[in-house]
Amino acid sequence: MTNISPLLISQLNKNQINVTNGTQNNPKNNSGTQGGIKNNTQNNNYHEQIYQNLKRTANTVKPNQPKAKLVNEGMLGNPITATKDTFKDAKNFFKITATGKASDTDLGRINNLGLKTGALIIATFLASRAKTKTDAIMQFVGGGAFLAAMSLWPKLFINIPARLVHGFRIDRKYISAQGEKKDFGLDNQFLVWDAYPEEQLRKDAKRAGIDYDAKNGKEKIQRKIQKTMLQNRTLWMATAGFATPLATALFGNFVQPHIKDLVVKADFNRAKKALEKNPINEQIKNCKPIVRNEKEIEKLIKNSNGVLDDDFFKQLAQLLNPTDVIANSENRVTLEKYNSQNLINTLKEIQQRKVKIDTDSLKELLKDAKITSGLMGEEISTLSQDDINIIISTFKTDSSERNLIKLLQQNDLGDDEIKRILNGVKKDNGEFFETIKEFNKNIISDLRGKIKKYIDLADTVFASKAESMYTNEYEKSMKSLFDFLGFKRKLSKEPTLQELLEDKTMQASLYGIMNNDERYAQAAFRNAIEAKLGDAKYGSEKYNSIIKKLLEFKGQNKKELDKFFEIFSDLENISLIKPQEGEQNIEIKKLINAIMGSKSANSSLNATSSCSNISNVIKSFIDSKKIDLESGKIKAALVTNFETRLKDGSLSNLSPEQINFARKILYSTTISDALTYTNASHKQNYWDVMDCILKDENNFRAEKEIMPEFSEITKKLHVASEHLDNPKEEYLRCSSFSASLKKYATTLFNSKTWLRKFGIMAIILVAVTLLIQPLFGNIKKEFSNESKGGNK
Amino acid sequence: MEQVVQNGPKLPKSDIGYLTSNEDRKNEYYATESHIYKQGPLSGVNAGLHKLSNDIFTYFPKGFQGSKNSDFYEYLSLGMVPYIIGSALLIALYSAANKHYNLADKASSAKVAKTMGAGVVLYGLGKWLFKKITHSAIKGSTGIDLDMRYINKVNELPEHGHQKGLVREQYPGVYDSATFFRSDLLAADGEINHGNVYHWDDKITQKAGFETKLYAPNQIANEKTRKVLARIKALENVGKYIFAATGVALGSQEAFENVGKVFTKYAKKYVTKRVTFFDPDNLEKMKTLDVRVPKFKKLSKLSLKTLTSPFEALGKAFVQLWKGDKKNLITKYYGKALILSCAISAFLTWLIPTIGFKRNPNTIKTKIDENKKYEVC
Repeated sequence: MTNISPLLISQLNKNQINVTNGTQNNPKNNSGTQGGIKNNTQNNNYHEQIYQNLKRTANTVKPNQPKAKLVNEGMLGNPITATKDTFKDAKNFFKITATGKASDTDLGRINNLGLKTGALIIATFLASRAKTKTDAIMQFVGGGAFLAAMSLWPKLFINIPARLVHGFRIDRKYISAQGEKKDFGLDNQFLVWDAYPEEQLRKDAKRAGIDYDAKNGKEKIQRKIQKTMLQNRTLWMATAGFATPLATALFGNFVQPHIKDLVVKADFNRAKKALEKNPINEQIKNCKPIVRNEKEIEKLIKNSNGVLDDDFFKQLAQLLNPTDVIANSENRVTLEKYNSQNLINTLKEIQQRKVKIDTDSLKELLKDAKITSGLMGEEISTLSQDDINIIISTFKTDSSERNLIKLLQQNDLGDDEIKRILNGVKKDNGEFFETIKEFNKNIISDLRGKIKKYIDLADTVFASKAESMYTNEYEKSMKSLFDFLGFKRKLSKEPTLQELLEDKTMQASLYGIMNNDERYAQAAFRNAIEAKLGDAKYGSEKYNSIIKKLLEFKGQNKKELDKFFEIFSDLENISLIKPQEGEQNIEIKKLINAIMGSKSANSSLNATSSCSNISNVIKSFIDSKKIDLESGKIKAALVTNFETRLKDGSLSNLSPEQINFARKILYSTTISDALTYTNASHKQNYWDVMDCILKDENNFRAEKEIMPEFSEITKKLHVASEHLDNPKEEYLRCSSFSASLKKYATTLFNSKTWLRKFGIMAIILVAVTLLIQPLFGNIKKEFSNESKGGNK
Repeated sequence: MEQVVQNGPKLPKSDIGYLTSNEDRKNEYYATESHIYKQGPLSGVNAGLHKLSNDIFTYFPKGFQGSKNSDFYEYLSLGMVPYIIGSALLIALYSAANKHYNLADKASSAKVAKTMGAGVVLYGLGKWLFKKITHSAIKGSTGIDLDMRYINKVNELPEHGHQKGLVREQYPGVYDSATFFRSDLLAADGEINHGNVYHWDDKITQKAGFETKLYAPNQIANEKTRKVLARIKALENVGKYIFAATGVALGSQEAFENVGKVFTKYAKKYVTKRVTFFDPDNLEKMKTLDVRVPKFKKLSKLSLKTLTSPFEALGKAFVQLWKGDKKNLITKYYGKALILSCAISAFLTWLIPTIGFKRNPNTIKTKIDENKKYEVC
């Protein structure tokens, strides 16, 4: 039974061919009304009539219009449509799971969605484990760059060059008859040419050099488009594996320093805002005073009548400290042993408001420090009253070890004996100082708790962590220094240290600095500076220009740092102790000095500052840090200054040993322990050298013109060198110059080798993809055997 | 009533003779027609290797020449190559430049490279594991073997200058497409190998709860497989990335920082070494000193621990991921959240397709409601 279409039925009806049921007579021959056709003559022409009808109407029946259409999108894509598509994908996901109806393109697009969610999960996980904030941010940047590179690589390096070389686009998209958006050339054997309008084909043929109207013109252009699309798609598959990781790595490498700057600035601003909400003065005013009630102390002393029990000390300790420091019986014993008499005397003085110290009290002071026991007992008695007075006066007001040693030397005391004195003072007071360390610690922790926001701000600037402004500044200044000096990455023949010292024109490389010790770094720096200076003398134009460059190497956070120092200089003179009339602060200072001894054990606090005055404490802390930061910047200038003055001959009064000593101090500060404590003549040497280098302001007149604070810094450094127990720790505290040179040279070398390797790979990849493009789309062979002319 | 099976003429008579056995006729059929082949546990690996080797030697050259015979299957199998190259390059970016660094930097960067490598490897393993778990679960509850493959015989057009076209083999999956899965091949396979056209459909209807065999099980089976396929493909394409992310998270743990070669023995020997250093008193001169230094000699015997060390590290990393860091809230609970979400996603990818799979006898009405109006068309 054949299917009769409605069209034919309508035609039949029009010609009024009646179809009726069979009649009563059912003849077997063909004549009659079998089949329901009335007219006998039409029986034979049944099929012919149908044919005639069709012939008449065939040309009016046409196939349906194509529903597929090209999409008008640019070559770089549209982020708005991309986001819309991702939302559609998410919607489709839920629709498919709910209804169970899907098309293959939708399912393929959901894979992209999964990839993005997976990338997000990985990025958040790795960011939570990151140790610094920049690392955490870089995870997201890297993930985003990966996904962007996957989509941008074909667009920028394959589609655009193809358009420029061949004249037509290979990245067309169309919307199919079912309403799905697909790539035009996704399947090589199923190209929907219905969607490609003819005008566009003509344009493409014209640009590609094909005559559309000639024979096979349309086929040629279609075949050319198909072929280029296929070839470029395989190229994409071949290069995508190389391109996306390289692009993300190189992009991340470029972006990371900028993100670090932003993070540092954001931290600083955040801490500053928190501080502006709660200014320091209000915080300090609400602090509890250390000495709660002096009247109670006086009562306690009155009631003791000279009997020093455990109870006495416990009560005294509680009155003096907010926390129970001296509660341990052993510590109480040390307190009793070493300073009981002193303490009582000073307390008595406070009571009587008298200040008087005699030889007796000095003797007792030294006695308390056990200096009389077998070390120096007899020699003290040989000192005259004047000497003792001088000792007392200096020991009281200016507790610098330097002057004490000078005095003792003037009294013909030998090195060994001086050493024993100093060791005795330190050793026997060692246990005591530990209790005072606790005392200090508690004060400081108390302070830190109360002024935490203040300390936070200081930490963002000065802490030795990776993301403080301080390290950022330092790294940037080192970077610009290295750019200026221009070391090469690696030389074919690395010079040795001897060669560098002998031949001043030889230059070292980063590889050499990395693999050798600090002396090599010193020599490398010297040679590099001499190459720049040439024969320039101190004060000449060339010297000034070089010094200018060296001093201008700073980071970009100068404004913030200036604001920071402004904040800290606005402190009022606020003390923890309740203010009373007159000279109470001096007495309390004396009291605390009596307890703590002549020096504080905590070297970060200035020795002569009293804990009663927070502003002094903080100021001294900040001053020391300021010196650190600024000295870090001017180290290179100091060193050049020294070297040129040496060459000019203005430092001729120094012996060669002293010159080496000076070099050591300026470059590395690795003064061995033998020099610090035992050998006083070495110490004398040290101070003489420092005087020679740093004291005279005229030595820095060229630098002062460029940076007015230069002389102040050198003054501070000079002063700091005097209050030293351990010059290794205090002077130029922010790491030695040569160590930092070596460290930065390693990082620079590492980054340069990495970039070299993978940058070359990236360049080769890009070159190959661009150069292979003109070889695509060659259809000459396929159409080579078509006849020119001849029968059609 | 029993199921009546009408097999079609899938095994045409050959020209050899009417006494040819069914085996020979089958082999003749298999030589030229696409068919489902017998599969074992390694058939997936075989297909993957076939794809990879063909990628390098045939599909890439064909694509670069622009032949008319490159089809969609070849394009999809080319997608393996950038995945492998990209993974290798990601690892190399962290490790290739290390040999130039000094000792301290080398050690620290080697640790990072190892965690990165472990992350990359576990990414792929996570995806594979997810697929294995869900496919076996679906096979158990619905009877659809999603890993089934068939041999596709492609008769290619002759290339330019040649008279004949080649016949290539491909190994696509039967259920690759959700709307046009190869039910015709399943029917042919049922007829040829199992004597019943509805062999594979019966399995599905049996799992769907029909106790007796149906007359036309293919109608119900096709409908059900279409729904199951759509759902599982959608869920799979999202769920496998959760497993992959867990793999990367595992790889970044500390346990993988020390994975490496393990040697059986070290031999200690003392060797005199000449050391030069500067004299602190006279800084221009150099002093030399002979120093006895221990020399560790690694014997080249790799112990079995090198093979087991990655697995040990995996177990430890699992524990570390579960415990997390006490640094903040996120690090404490993220590992646990990841592992639990893995389990939940695997469970959901099994559950959602199988919810509507079993027929509910109560929904099928056998009686006509007399009060309701029906339309007869």
